[in-house]
This record gives sequence, C-alpha cells and structure tokens, in this order.
Amino acid sequence: MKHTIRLSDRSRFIVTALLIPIGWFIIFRLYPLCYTLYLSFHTYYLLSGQMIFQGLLNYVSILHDTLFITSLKNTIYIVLGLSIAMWIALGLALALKNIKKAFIRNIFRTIFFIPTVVMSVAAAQIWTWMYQPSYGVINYLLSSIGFKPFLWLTSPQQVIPALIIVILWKNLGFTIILFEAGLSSIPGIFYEASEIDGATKWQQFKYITWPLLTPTLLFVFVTGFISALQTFTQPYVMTMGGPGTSSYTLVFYVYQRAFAYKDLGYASALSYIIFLIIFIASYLQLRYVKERVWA
Amino acid sequence: MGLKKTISKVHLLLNCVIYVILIITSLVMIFPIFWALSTSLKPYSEIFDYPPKFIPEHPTLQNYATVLFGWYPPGLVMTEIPLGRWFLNTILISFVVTFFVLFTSSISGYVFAKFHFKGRDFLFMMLLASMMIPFVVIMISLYILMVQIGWVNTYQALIAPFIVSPFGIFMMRQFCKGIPNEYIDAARIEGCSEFTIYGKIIFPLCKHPLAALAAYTFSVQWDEFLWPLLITTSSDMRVLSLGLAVFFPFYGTIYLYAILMAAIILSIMPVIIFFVFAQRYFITSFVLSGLK
Repeated sequence: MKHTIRLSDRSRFIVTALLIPIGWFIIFRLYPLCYTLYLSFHTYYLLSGQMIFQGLLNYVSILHDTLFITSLKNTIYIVLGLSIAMWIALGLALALKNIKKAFIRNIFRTIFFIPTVVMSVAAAQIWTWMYQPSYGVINYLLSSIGFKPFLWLTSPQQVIPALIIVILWKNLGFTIILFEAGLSSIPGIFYEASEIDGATKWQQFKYITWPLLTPTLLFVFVTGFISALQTFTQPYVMTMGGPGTSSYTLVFYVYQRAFAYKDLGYASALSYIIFLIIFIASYLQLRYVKERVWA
Repeated sequence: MGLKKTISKVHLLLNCVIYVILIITSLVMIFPIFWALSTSLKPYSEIFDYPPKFIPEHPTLQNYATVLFGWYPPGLVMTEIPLGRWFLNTILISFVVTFFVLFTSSISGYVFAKFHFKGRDFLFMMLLASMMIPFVVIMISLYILMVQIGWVNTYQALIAPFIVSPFGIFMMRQFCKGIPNEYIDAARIEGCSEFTIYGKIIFPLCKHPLAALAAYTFSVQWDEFLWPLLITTSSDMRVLSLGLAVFFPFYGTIYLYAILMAAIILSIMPVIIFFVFAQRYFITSFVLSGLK
C-alpha cells in the first residue's frame, strides 16, 4: 500500500489559495521587518560586510542628529501644508455638488482628476521646469500681475512650499473624488426634510453635511497623512534634498543614509523611528476622532 | 415677493462665484500639462525666450524625433534615450503585478469569506496588519535579500514584492461575503470541485470589483519609483518613472527640458487618453480604495 498523504479537495483548495499570500507575507514583509530591526542594533556598511553589535547606539545618535531633526521638520511642514490644503478639496467638492448639470460637472471632474493619472516623476519634472527662476513660466506669470520673481526650488525658505504645491496638484483631484463620494452617500431625504423645516444652507451644512462627512474626512486625513510622511519622489527628482539640506524629508534621508553613505544600520534605525511616528500619529488621530465623533 | 427676489439674486451670484472658482481651478490644474506640451513643440531657440510664448512660434517635432528615433540636432551629444524599452518594462511589470494581485486577492478573499478552518482569522489579521508596514521600513532588508539571492537588476525583483495586495484581499473578502451560500452549496451537490466552483462561479461574479482593483493596482504600480530606483542598475532594466527622473539632469542645460517634455508627453498621454475613456473604472477604483 502506498502511504501518500491525501488532502481532501477542500484542503487542497485552501492551501493553494493561501500559499502565495502567506509565502509572500513571510518573505517580503515579515522577514524584512524583523531583519531591519536586527540591523538597527548594529553598525553595518553595505560593502564592508562586517556587522558590529551596538545596542541602542544608533537610536541614541539619531536623537542628536541635526539632519534627522531637519528632515523631521521638513516632513512635518509638508504634512501640515497638505492637511490644510485638504480643505480646498472639500470646498471644490461642495462647489461641484452645487452644479446641477451632470455633463458640466463631469467635465470639471475629469480635468481635476487628470493630474492624478500623471506619473509622479513626470509631474515633478514638469513643475521643476515651470519653477525655473529665470526662464520659468510661473515667475513670468507672477511678474505679469506685479509680483517679484520667486526663487522657488533654489531658496531654502521657498523649496518646501514649492514641493507642497506639486504634491497638492497631483492629489487634489483624487481627494475631491473621495469627498464627492462621501457627500453623495448622504441621503438626500435629510436635506429635503430640513428644507421643509426651514433650515438655511449653513444650518444644513453644519448639522447634516459636516457630521455625516466625518468618516470620509477622517479617512482622507489619515491616508493623506501617512503618504505625506513618506514623501520621497518630489525631493529626489526636483531638488536632491537641496538647496543644502533644506528639502530633506525623512524617507529621503533614509535613502541617502542607506544608499549614498551605505550606512545600513543607522538607516534601519531611522526607518524604525519613521515607522513609530506613523504608527503613533495614526493611532492618535483615530482615537481623537473616535472620541469626538462616535463617543 | 421682494424677499424671494433677493434670495434668487443671492443664489445667482453664488452660482456665478462657484463657476468662476471652478473654472480658475481647472485652468490651474490643466496648465502644467499644456505647458509641457507647448515646451515639447518648441525649437531650442524658443526655449530661452523671455517672455515665454504660450504657443510655439515655429512648432517642431524635432524633440519627439530625438526621443523616439535618436535624431539629434548637430552639436548636441547625448546618450541614447531608450524610452520604448522603459515603456515596455513598465507595462510588463504593471501587467504581471496586476495579474497576480487579481488572482491572489480573489481566491484568498473567497477563502477568507466562505471557508472555516483553524487559524483563519489569525492569518487574515496578519495579512491585514501588513498594510500598516510603510515601505521605507522594509526596503533596506529587501534590498539586502535581493543582493543575497542575486536578483538585483531583474524583473523578478521588480515584481515579487508587490504580487499580493492585502487591501485587495480585504476588498474581495468583503465582496465574497455577499455571495449567497446557496450558489456554492448547489455546485458542491452537483459534484463540482472547489477549484471549479472558484473558476466557474466565484471568479465571474467578482468581475466588477476586480476591474476596479485592476485599475487601482495598475496605476499604483505604474507610478512606482523608489523600489525600481534601488534595485535596477542598468538602463535597459529601468522603468519609465526612473528613466524620466534619472536620465535627465535637472540643474543641467535648460534646452534639455524641451526633449524631456517631449518624453514626458509621450509617456503620460496614453494614460490620460485611457483615463478619459475608462474614467468610470478609474474613479470607482479610487473611491473603492477609499472605502476600506
């Protein structure tokens, strides 16, 4: 008699279905996650091959690392700038909702959404060209309405706002669509009922739209926040972190540390700190909103 | 009567303001693309013009010829721009990743929704939790892993880290929960194997959410930049985003921008045209991604 293990059809199906996801999870997520943690306690240079255990030294050094502080500040600046800009998206979504003709609404929506399907790198390059201080079209347009030319990417003060504009340009359409979806999920009967009761537009907004839109708002903020914390493409393509280090972001700094200086141990510790920041911040946001909204 | 008239006047004014705001915003949103197009059609002599001209005075396709066929004007020495190769790489990688994501998301989403077995919820939570891991935390170890197994500068390395989407699994699980058990039970009574049930019943039912998931996965993959930057070393393995970023010097000579803009227009236009026609799927896909 042959002693082969015969799985039932059902078990075979389950195993087949979950084999790739679980294998993928272990090899491409869990293992790297643990290995980065392990690396973060060591000094390890990419080409040297020597790994020296250092305990928490990397983490301690990060706290005194001025470049880390600069990157953190810049990143927070971008996150705040983009969160404020979210309100523009909400305003535009409300404006779109006010347009009665579906055809016209669709045209606007398409135009707003087009930048979202433009590759981030392409967007960054187009804007770099437009930001050119001497030949750039933006300075020309500004000067034609009486503004002085800006330095944009070549000025330590203006570089971060310039990057925020680029990211905003790409994300605005997407955010508007999310807000629109949130708005259209509010049952129209609420508005009709309140109109019968003589509610003003403002009251409708305050007591119907706002509270019912909160889940969408929360989602837009948390995801926008998480992706803004990981800003990398724009500083890499547009400024290489410059001028000087004034547009270093956290992920850009990790990249530089790991792949320009080959300092993998330190970069691993940095990346864990970013992980921690993202984790704590999204947790706090979720809790704050839960308390204020659903309590 | 007077009050009603005032109210309708206020409404009219409000509508006008709304239209003005929307039109101005649309112009701002579309301008960069228009400007890239305009620059790409200019001869070098016009690139330096100040004030800049919005419509090129002597429009030319020479920049496109440079990008596509490597025709360089005399005096300009530059390495070749393998735009076609980058384009094919990007399409290949995005297609393979999307294919795997659709397969793994639908089949394991179905299993998580309709099968009961030990450890199911643990496995599901584990996969879901991996959505929380930012790429920056794993990229260094992934890179070392790729060096160790000799995958640097290969297609496998560009594809493998993205073949499963925890979000896709979650989305398909939610969808499959809504499929009536009777369908599945009836097929079992008929003697269908589990594989047949998945292939003949479940997969076809999942068509619509899968189309949205496909649009979403494809466009995210299309935009991928950091990982290809780390893992590719030769020009012929680059993807489009990388080629457009690394190939062209950004603080270099300004006339290169004319060529760069031609390359950019060539690479974004197919997507924009595709988007304008398949808008519905794109937009639902993005909204779905927002409804997690």
